[in-house]
Amino acid sequence: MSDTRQLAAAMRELDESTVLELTKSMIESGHDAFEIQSLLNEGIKDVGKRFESGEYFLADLIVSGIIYQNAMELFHHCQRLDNAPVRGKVVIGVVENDIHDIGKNIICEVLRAEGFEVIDLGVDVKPKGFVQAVQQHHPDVLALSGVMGFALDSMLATISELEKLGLRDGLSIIIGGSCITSGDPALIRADKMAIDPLETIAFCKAVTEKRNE
Amino acid sequence: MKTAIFACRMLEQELCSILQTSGDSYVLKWFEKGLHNSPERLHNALQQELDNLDSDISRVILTYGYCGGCISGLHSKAQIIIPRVDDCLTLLLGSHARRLEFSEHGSGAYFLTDAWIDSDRSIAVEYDYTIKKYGPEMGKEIFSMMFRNYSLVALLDTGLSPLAAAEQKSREIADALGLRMEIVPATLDYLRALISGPWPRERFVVLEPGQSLTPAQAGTMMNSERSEI
Repeated sequence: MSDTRQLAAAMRELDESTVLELTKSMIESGHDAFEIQSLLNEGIKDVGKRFESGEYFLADLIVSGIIYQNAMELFHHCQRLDNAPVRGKVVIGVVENDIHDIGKNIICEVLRAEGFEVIDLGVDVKPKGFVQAVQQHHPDVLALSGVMGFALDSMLATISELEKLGLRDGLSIIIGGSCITSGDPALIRADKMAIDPLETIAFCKAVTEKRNE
Repeated sequence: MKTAIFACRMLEQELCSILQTSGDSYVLKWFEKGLHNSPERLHNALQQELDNLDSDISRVILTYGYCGGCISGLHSKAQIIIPRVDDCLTLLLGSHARRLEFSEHGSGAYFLTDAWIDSDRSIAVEYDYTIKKYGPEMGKEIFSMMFRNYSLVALLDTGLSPLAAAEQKSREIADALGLRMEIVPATLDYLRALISGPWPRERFVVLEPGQSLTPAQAGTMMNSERSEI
């Protein structure tokens, strides 16, 4: 099995040392971040399927997140050494009434690994908290995260508040987390719904690239 | 014409207690607790039964709320009634507002019921699996990560059965996680109103035959003031 296939398989089996070893060797041999993240994502999706089928438990989902974060830290470390320029600025937080932040923390790590400056507002962030952060930091992207069903309502409340204060124009908003199933982000007046880190990264990159055109 | 109830086994005790005194007859279809782990499977199971409804059923009452998004896209030739709740815990707490009281100030409550404690994927089962697979040190670290934003284990008391055994288990879980444990009064009023009707817009979504919820409508239905449906 090639290194690339082994990486997805090691992630699926929650074999941390192999995941980190292969990630490091792939970075050193010039594979780009997108390719490596795609493989890690493939493994994580299989972990999710195993959870749904009853083979894996909650702890295994958490461990897959830890391994993913640790793999991303390897990128972060390389980029710090390279002194890469900041690609853009993202304000992120878990929305009001929700406290589940494991996914949000993974996204923070992935964004930093990709060279974004991340302002992490934490959990249970009220619409007013997001408004203040947007006014203070002028981010390229606002990322709203949530797990509970009612998180979508808090996301809508946040976007409504930004609209009311005239802060929505020119601000790109992405929503994500397991409260998101599928559908059109425009229905809650966001620009993008993301169900995995890759989609989040691709969106943030597209926003900043467009800004720099 | 008849009314069907599509019910989650998680609410078996509560629903049976209500139906015993209701005097009306319903076509009752139970869905297994384990379907919770996969909203997609739960959705498919519900839709399959909706597709196979007998022609004399004109209304289907769901004891499910948002439940991971399982309700979005459900459609039927019959009317569908859905409570404006996140899940069955909110149904037993009596309102969405009451549920939110437990997630104020950035720390949350982990809710338990008799049925949750006895389920084959209860948090106690999860804990034992984790310690066995990852060892005590790593296992505890994983759990502290999972529960770092929680402050409370809340055992819901519906008054339908003695709580001693459930309380003992809840306390053990709380102790293992380093959280407080409280017994929180629950109510059957919301569930009773769901079964009996009427279904005012503030508390229920009524889908007419052929109508369905988009994912965004499903995700924002808990707040009737902001909900578009």
